[in-house]
Amino acid sequence: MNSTPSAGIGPDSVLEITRPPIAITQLVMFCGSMGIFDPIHFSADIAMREGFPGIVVNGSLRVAFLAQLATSLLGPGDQLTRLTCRHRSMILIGDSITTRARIESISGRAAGRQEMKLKLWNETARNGLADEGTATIELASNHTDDEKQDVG
Amino acid sequence: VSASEAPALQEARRQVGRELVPSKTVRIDSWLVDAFELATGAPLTAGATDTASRKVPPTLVYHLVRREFDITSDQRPAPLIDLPLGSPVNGGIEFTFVRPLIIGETVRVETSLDSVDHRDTRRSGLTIVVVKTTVSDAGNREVASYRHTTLYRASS
Repeated sequence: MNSTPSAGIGPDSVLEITRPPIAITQLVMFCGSMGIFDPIHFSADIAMREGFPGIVVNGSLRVAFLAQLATSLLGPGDQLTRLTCRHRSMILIGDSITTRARIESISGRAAGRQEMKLKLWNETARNGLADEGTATIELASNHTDDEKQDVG
Repeated sequence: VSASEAPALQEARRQVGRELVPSKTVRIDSWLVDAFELATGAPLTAGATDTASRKVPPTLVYHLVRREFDITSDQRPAPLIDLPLGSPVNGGIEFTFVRPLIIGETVRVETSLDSVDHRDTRRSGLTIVVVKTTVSDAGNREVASYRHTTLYRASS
């Protein structure tokens, strides 16, 4: 997993994490440990019998990837307060997923604690946009002004 | 709404507020966090002795509802709303996090049918079903919740 550095980010900065192609081992591990037992996520035969072109990558794994990038931006005391995701296209085993985030805004101080709003999305080379979402991060009030300047 | 779907839609609307999965208490054990991190390729903090400093991945809350499965069957699990509403499509998810979960705490997870709406479309119709799951701590304070939307496209 490769990620871009987060230093010096600001509004409209785009951060990304690229991952190796999704392997059956990862899906079995995810499904088994998280209690997901729909066989379209680990059996090609059953997935195709159900009309899918191959083993289907879980929506919840894709959401976890978005959350992973959002939480990579958290500093001490910051908190992810909201996360949304809508799925736009199917992701199949073997697809490489790139997760990207763009900082949309950082609210002013008038409302008390500051909030950072992010746009998030997953892409695959095969299908382009796969998921899109948003995240809200409540920034800790103990950030220094210099640190806040660093993130916009 | 087609004549054949109207009863299913009416039945779904009657079920709004119904608990869909028996509520349960779940302990946030470190093995669960380890497993989630390993399976998502997150930076591993497994083995850290200072569990207080470990972050519980926020979307782990999605996996605290554990349904019962028939281990002798390779069939797909039955949907939470088992009504002939059309073919289901994942319509997305919205999480709200009040505070991070803490390793070692026990939470209560409740899942219920939040809303059922119908929209007429040019082709046929769309039934929008929202299921809400709430995670509460030992003091009965909400820690997190999520609303999962499923869209049922009526067969034309």
